[in-house]
Formats: sequence, C-alpha cells, structure tokens
Amino acid sequence: MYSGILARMIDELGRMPGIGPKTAQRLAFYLLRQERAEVERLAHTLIEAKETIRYCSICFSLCENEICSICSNPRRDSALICVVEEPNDVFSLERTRAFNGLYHVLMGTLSPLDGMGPDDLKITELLRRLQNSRVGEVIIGTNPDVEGEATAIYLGKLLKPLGVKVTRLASGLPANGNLEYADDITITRALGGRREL
Amino acid sequence: MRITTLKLKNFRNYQELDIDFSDHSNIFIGNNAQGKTNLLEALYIIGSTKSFRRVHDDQLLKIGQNNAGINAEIIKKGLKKTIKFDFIAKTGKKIWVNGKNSKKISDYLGNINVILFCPEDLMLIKGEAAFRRRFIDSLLCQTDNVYLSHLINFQRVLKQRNFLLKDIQERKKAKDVLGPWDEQLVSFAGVIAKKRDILIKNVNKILEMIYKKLNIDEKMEIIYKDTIFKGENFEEEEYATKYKNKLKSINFEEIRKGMTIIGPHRDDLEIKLDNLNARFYSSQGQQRTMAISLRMAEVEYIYSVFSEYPILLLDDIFSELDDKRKGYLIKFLKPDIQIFITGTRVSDFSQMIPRARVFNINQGKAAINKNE
Ligand SMILES: Nc1ncnc2c1ncn2[C@@H]1O[C@H](COP(=O)(O)OP(=O)(O)OP(=O)(O)O)[C@@H](O)[C@H]1O
Ligand SMILES: [Mg+2]
Ligand SMILES: [Zn+2]
Repeated sequence: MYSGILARMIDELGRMPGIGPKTAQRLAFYLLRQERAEVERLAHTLIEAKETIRYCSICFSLCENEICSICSNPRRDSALICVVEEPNDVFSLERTRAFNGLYHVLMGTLSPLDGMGPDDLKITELLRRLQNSRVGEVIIGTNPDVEGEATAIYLGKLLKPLGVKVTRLASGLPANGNLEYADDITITRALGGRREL
Repeated sequence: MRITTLKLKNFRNYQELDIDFSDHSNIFIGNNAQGKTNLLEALYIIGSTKSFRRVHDDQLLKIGQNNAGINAEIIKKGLKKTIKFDFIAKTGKKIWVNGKNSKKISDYLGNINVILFCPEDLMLIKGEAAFRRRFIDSLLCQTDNVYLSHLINFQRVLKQRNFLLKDIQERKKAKDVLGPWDEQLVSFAGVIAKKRDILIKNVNKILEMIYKKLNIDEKMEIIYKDTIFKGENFEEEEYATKYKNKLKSINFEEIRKGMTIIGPHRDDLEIKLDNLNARFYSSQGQQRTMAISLRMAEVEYIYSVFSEYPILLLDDIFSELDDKRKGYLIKFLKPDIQIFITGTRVSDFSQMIPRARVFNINQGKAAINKNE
C-alpha cells in the first residue's frame, strides 16, 4: 500500500511487540507530523539508551553502570534474593515497594519449544552468587504458567541441597497471567504468601 | 438459554443476515448447499467459539472477503447479553460480550451452551477414541472451569515434554531436565482423569434414566478406560503417583519414540450395550440410538449443572432416522428447550410445526415462511 521509506518506517515500527500494522501506521503518521527537533530527540534518546543501558553484572537487571542501584544499595537485604524471568519483572516488583531484598534475572524460562534449557538461563551465575554468601532465602518469582513453574521446580531441586531456603511466590497471581500485567496489590499479596518449595 | 437474534456479515455464504428466532423450535428448510448447516455453524460458534467442522477460522470468511462478523443476543439465567465475534483474515478472531473483550477462551465459555446432534455422532460409537475424548472434554469444559484450565495446562506441558523427548532422542538435551515437566504432567493429569471418571459415572446414571424414559429394554453403559488404571477405581493423588512411576519405567521407549505414550491424551471410553462392546457387537440401529442417547445425556448433564437446558442444534437428523428413533427424539424435545433444526422438506416436521418458526434458506438468504 505504501512504498519507499514510508513503507520501511511502518514495517520497522510494526516489528515491535504489541504493535500491529494499524498502530504502526498511526505512529508513523504521528511522527511525520512532528517538528524535526522532536523526532531528532526521540532518535537520539533511542540510540543513547541503547548505548548506555546494559545488564547488571551481578543480577542482570537493566542499569546504566556495571552494577545496578539495587545491588549496590547497602540498605537492601542481601540475605534475600528474588529470582525472576525478565528485567521488566524487577520493575513490577520494585513498584510495589514490598520487597527489600536483591534480584536475579534468569533471562527466560525452561521451554523446549523455544530451545531453552538450563544452560540458556543465568543459573550458573545464580549458583556462583550463592557460594560463600550470606543469602538465607531464595524466592522464586517466575510466572505462574507451566514454563515458569517448570523453572521453579528445577531451581528448587538444584538449590535445596545447598542448604538455602527456597520459596515460591504463592498464588494471588492470575493463572496463565504474568508478573508484568498483575496489578500491584496482587503482587504484594503474592510476596506475603510465599510457600516453601 | 436462548439465542434471540442473529446477525451475520460475510460469514460462509451469507453476505448479510439479520433474523429473530422463536424461543422454541426454529426450522431451516432448503435444498442442498443453500446455507442451512452454515447457520447452525454460526450458532455453534456462539456457544463454543469454534466450528464443529474443525476448520481454520479463515475458512469461515465469505470467499474473497477479509473480515466476517457474528452478532447475537442471548439470554442465560434471565440475563440478556450481546455477543460479537469479529474474524479478520490471517489475523484471528476477537470476541466481545456486552462490549467487553474476552481475551481468552476461558473468559468466554459458559455464556451459553449449545449442543449439536448430527449424523456424524455415530462416530462416538464406531469411530476412533479421539471422538469420545472430544465428547468428554467438551462437556467438562462447558461445565467446569477448573477442568478447562487444567486441560489447557496439561496440553501445554505435553507439547513441551514431547519436544524435549525428541531433543533427548537427538542428544541435544540431557535426560535429567524431564523432571519439572513430568511433575506438572502427572499432577494436571490426576485432576483431569478423576474429573473424567466422575463425569462418566454421572453420565451412566443419566443414560439409565433416558433408556427407561424412552422405553428401550436395553442397558447402555460407558466404562472409562484410562491408560493408567485401565478402568479400576482411583483417587487423584494415586493416579499422579502411578502415572509418574509408569513414566519412569517406559522412559527408554518414550525417548525412542520421541513422544509421551500414556496419559489422559490416550484415554478411551468403552461403550457397552447389554455388556457387549457396542463398537463390535451392536447393530447399526442400536448404534444410532446410542449416539443420540449420548447427546441427550449431554443435554441432561448440562441441565443438572445449570438448572437450564442448553440450546439444541439438529443437523440433518430427521431425514436419516427411522420412525422409531424420530419418536425418541421428539419425546425428548421438551417445550422449554430452544431448538434449531435443518431439513429439506417441511413435511418431515409436521408434528412440530404448530410451535415452530420456519425459515426458507435459499442461496445465503433466510426468509420467514408465511405459513407459520
Ligand atoms: N467461506 C465460504 N464462502 C462462501 N461460500 C461458502 C463458504 N463456505 C461454504 N460455502 C458454501 O455454502 C454453501 C452452503 O453450505 P451448507 O453446508 O450450509 O449447505 P446446506 O444448506 O446445509 O446443504 P445440505 O442440505 O447439503 O447439508 C455451499 O454451497 C458452500 O459452497
Ligand atoms: Mg447441511
Ligand atoms: Zn544488580
């Protein structure tokens, strides 16, 4: 329908998650209506973000330095680690202010269909963190779908022999739902009612 | 339960349709290939979100069109709702109830229950196990949300596990990662199997009642043949434990085949008439009676759960039944059930006409028969 650079622009926008062809069109036309300076600012922000934001070398959540502000905060309880699937899960939990421990992002879940096995997750890194540390409890906050549950079961079996207490964020989260969409109250409730694995 | 109005846009051979239904019997009369079954298909989708023809949603779109719609007004428990389905080519469908989007099937099911009677029901007796599994699954999914979510989860775990078994076969993954999937598989399976078992016991009671009411001096009985206990009694946890142990003992074979070879996805029902397996011993006529009785049992079961009868769709049923079985069916059709029937001749329905609304279906158009 569109050709040349406009078609390419719509196509690029449409590749983003949650953006269908119609929304991509709307965004494209919106951007074209803006002043040049506006568009430049957006483009610069995207590139700057891409260049500065990286994964924390300890917990793999997003940050602008080598180590994120949570890992480097002495007031956080370093005896407690919450394991989550993706960096955005850290933001969901932080928003609730109900959790004062540290995080560990796995970067996915077990999922044979997507070719994801234990070696494809940040599990070795988690084990290394637990060695010679004062971590007393690991809370597994993977999503309550079958992939998140499989990952939780796997981690439970792996961590328990190390003598660390392993708990699972209890119900309160919608079945087949995930952390990203759960509202803050549900997450707070889930944090309170965790069960031992 | 009632469907009071139906509007179609670009659905199958209907470009545009807008009709009101009778609360009792609605009869669609027309020559072959005019769109009678297509109408029942739209009504069935309103109940179950899917076609009974088991086709891709895109095939529902009128040939050459990019979108289609079904709009309906329904009543359940005295509550009126508007239902809207939008089908978009190569994209999928969206469903709204009273203007609110239903994101998952589980959000939608339960708005209205629709049961189809059709000649292929004979496959419930004669056909492969899959037909009988579909029978129990559809009945349980309509009446039990917990079953539905366990079934969805079970199927997802099964898919992951089968994929993993193939990976292990090809030595891409180590064997020790099966554990987390097995644990979930057996616990979902335990719940599914127990619920199937209880359902079958209830259906047997209903069948006995139906045969008595129809005055048939035979005993029809269903036996739940699960792959773990093979018909013996069990409890949920027992099932899970035994299933897990069996999986361990056949691990080698499963890896060789690259799939999960026992469990609820391999269940069957043995249907017996006077203690003989109906599939191999009963006459064609007896099998037809049994197939209709199974559907009637489905209707009665839904009534027992919701205290309200589901909507009945009868496709080409009357033309192929002999007078005796036609009599059974008419005896069963109570006046407080809303019915949609197709046929080629009005005369087949003479006994029902007084209360019925008759529609003439002709090349994707429906006209009310004036002789109503
Ligand atoms: N996607 C579609 N677009 C347009 N026409 C279609 C589509 N799918 C099916 N049809 C047509 O719809 C017509 C009617 O089909 P339907 O199965 O409803 O017939 P029927 O009235 O039930 O006939 P019978 O008495 O033989 O069962 C067929 O001729 C078929 O070609
Ligand atoms: Mg037909
Ligand atoms: Zn960090």
